[in-house]
Amino acid sequence: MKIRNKKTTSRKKLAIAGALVILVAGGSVAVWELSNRDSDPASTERKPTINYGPATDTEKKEADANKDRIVKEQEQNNPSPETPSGKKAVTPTITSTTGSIKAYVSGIFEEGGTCTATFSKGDSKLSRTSVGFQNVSYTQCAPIDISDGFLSPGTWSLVVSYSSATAEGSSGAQSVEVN
Amino acid sequence: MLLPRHIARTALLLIIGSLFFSSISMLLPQQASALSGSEFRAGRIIDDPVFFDGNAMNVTEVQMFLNAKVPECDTNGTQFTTRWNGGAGRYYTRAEWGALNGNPAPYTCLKDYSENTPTRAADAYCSGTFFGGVKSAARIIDDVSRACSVSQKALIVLLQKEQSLITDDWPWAIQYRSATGYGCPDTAACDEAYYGFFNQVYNAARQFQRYIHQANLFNFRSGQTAYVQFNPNAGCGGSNVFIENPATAALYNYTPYQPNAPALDNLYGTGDGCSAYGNRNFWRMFNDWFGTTQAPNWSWQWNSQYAFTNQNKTTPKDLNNLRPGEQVYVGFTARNTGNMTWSNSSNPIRVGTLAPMERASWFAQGSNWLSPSRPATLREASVAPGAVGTFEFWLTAPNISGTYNERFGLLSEGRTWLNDIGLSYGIRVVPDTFSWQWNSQYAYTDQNKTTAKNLQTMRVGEKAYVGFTARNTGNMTWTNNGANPMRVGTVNPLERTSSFASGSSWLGNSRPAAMKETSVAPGAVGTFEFWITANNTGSFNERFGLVAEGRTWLNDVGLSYGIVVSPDTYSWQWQSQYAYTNQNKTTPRNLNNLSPGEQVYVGFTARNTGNVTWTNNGANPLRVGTADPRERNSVFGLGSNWIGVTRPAAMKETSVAPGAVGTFEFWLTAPNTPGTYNERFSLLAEGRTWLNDLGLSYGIRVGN
Repeated sequence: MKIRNKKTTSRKKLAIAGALVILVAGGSVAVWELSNRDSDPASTERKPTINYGPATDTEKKEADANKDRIVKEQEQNNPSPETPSGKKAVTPTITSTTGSIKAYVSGIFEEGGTCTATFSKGDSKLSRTSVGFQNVSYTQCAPIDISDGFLSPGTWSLVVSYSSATAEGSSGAQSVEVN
Repeated sequence: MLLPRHIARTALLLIIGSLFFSSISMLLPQQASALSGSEFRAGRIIDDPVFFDGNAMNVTEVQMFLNAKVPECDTNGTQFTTRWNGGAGRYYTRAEWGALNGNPAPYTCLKDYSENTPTRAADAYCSGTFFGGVKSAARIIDDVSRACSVSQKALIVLLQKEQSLITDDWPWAIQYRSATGYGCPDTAACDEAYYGFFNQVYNAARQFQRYIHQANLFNFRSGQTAYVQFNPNAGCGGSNVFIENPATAALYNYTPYQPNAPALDNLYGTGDGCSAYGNRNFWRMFNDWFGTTQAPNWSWQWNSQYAFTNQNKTTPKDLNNLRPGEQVYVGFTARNTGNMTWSNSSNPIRVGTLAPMERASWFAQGSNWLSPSRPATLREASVAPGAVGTFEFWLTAPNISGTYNERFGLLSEGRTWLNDIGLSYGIRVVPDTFSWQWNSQYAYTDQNKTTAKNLQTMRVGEKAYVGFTARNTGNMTWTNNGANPMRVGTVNPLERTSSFASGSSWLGNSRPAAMKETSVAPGAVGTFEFWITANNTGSFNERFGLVAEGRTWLNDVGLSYGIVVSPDTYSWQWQSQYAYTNQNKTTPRNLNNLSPGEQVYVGFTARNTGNVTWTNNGANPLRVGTADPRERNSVFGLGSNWIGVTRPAAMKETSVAPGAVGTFEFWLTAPNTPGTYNERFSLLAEGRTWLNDLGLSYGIRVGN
């Protein structure tokens, strides 16, 4: 059969397209490989950069949820629990007992309150105090040093309590090993 | 195989189209892999070099970032919320719902927010001053970052984590009021002393620095294990966490909760009733927006750079014109922005050559480097992350002149190279040049240079003391000793033998003198002086130049002395003439009526119009002699006590220089014979020459 020009041209087109496909496919595979290469996972995967993309759906959702939180806080009708003396009930959190007692009191942001660390062992009961101070969203107890040996070796039971004009409360008991 | 045309065309389009779109998607910004909660490290949320970098973004980048997160602000709250307005049978608009909750439109987005801020002086925590004024949110963030050395990125993430201010397109006033949660306890009202966007941002940044400077006062501290709750509700529990660095301690001191497992498992959503999301979200958002929170282990930042003439580092050196072989002492300081402490002993931090790496530098030879590609080792024994290290070394200019760009970088020897920040020293090595510029020129009769000498009036045998000063316009210091002393030499042609040399104490026939000064630096002026002796008559153009002996002649500026040497001339000019009764010269005597035998004291003054100084002693003393004819015997000489038969007198003055006036006086004794006499006289340099005869005469009448 006589091969007409049009068919020859379309065969040429297909050949060219085929070559292009191979080239682009090969290139894309190369790019894909390079971008997915896992070198040092810790430090090289996410190089310092600035993401100028728009806010993601998650980010928008979280912004919206923040408004709900604001509304909820504004509507707060449930008063905080009160102690018998009418102060706000708070529970100090002990974060460390090594060398010094570190604790903080959430739910209150004020200066001048008293943090008391009370140590009990058998008949012994010792206590030391420090002053509370403001830290962003809570009251920080200044550290209470216990490295000077005033606690005899053994296992002591520690309770940290907080008292100010507006709030009071105690932590749960926690054991402290003294060598 | 041939395909039907339409199928082939469609297939072609499909193939090209899919490849096009997949390529486009390949180019879109994307993470190498999605962030997973399992990557969260409770003890190492963020590294110090990343958190405390006050230069992480500039104000333009901050503004661009805010613009990008909220391209369009819903200022009027026209969009619908997801809260159902039962009464209206539709969802509330934002404006409606906001108003219902005490926050009506319009709303200002962070990218458009500005505030009149106060000035905050530098203190122990924020070491820079925050200068007040009306400032945009981006400017406030950037200025606080720089004043308090807290990363702009950290503050941006903090603002998002606390009140979603970065991405909120209809933020409420309360979100600005308590933007960073400062002064807002969990279950109580916020402290209004800390209200306001600037107040919030500044106090938050400052508090982060307090955690560093007063680390002992707070709950969480780098290098220590502490109990971190999952939630403000202690009943939700927590765990002990070893805090690995101060920046992470700072985040916990700010927000003392860690994410629990459910919160980490659903990184982009909610956990359970015991989850608190503050620090999780800080970590997640920082990664999503700014990449890893971890600093590279090994990295540095340029701090300062310098070049001095030597290791005393007192005289700065311009690297633009080094001479071949010249040495210069250079250095730079580098801030450790990595996580690892630099050592100068174990895998020591060193300077290495770059461009290309390990190149053998042309400035190494003679510089006492560790090797041609290792100029120096870290000076300090140990440089902790955040601190600054010093590197100093010599550079010795090679013999080949040209422009050089010496590139260097840092490496931990045997371990890894650090980031290349492009540190370089641009150096120009210029060849030695000797050149000069005419400064002044002079001629004197004497070495003390008190009496100027006109060189157009020299006589054979006469000496003059000449000189000139020259400004050193090259880059080499001239000396008058050593290998290549600076000297005057004869030029035009070079090394010509000068007739003015003989009898002049020159260094040689073509070397009048060496430079007077021991040393003349570039830009300074040198002096050259020497005697010349006029040995021959004639007109001369004595040309001289400078030569660095044994090395090179300098540029010929055409320096010359125009000298005219004339033969000796003796001549005089009549000045005055007189006759007195005696040598007191008080009573004039009319020569018209002398008595026979009468004595009369006559004289005349003569100006020396020749070029020889008259003397009245020595080889050729100036005398009056009888003239017309010369040497005639004069009847007026008898009894007159002349110095000779035909010599009435010698010059009175010991010495009369050219231009000065000499005096000649003598007696005339009138003869016995009356008559009219015309006594003619002239001057002579005895034994040498008669001077010009001016017809000097005394007309005398001797009566009875």
